[in-house]
Amino acid sequence: MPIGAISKSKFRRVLRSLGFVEDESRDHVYLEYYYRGKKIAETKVSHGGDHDISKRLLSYILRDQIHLTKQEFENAINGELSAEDYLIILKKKGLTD
Amino acid sequence: MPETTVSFPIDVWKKAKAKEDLQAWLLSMQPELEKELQKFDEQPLRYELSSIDCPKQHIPVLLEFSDDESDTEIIALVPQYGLFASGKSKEEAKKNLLASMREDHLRLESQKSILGKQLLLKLEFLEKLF
Repeated sequence: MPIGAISKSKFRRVLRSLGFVEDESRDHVYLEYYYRGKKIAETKVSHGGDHDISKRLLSYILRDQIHLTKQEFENAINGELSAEDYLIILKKKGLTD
Repeated sequence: MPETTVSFPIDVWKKAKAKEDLQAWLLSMQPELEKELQKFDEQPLRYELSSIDCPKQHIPVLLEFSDDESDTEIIALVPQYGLFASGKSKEEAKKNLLASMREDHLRLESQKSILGKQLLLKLEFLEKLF
């Protein structure tokens, strides 16, 4: 089933499963991905509010910040994309150099 | 499923001297853009060029709208740098984007020594604005 909007809590849970760590600021929760001491990827979600992350906003987060296709993210939601798989994807895209 | 958004090439963005240049590129790409969106997404999208005032520069931004009446979200974005924010109106989306970029600038600047190349590029872009 194609992904649509996603709750912030589910989004954070999926990203943590891929190896992202959280850092809370006053207004946002930052989700950061580190490799060999370098921060490779980062996104953020606002504190509070009941709003989900919309499908369109999620498209930009995945493409420009997380570097995953929708299919890959869907696989991560379903537990079919591991942290190891994610690192391989980042390496293939040359983002860990 | 393939991506449903279409990249704004960095060379087009860098070479553009005015928003008219970007407008021209968008118009030239419109048939392909519409084809992509119709193929991969049930939700047709429209784009409009606008701009925001940053302390050091006035920069063009792209506004994205949905033609779906139930989707009133407007997304303001600077393509390629992972800079975007949404709002219920054009002004709110642009205001949120400016606030988000300012926050990103401060945060990335304080972490400069540990940034990977993608985030360093983002910081370099933000340093020209703030």
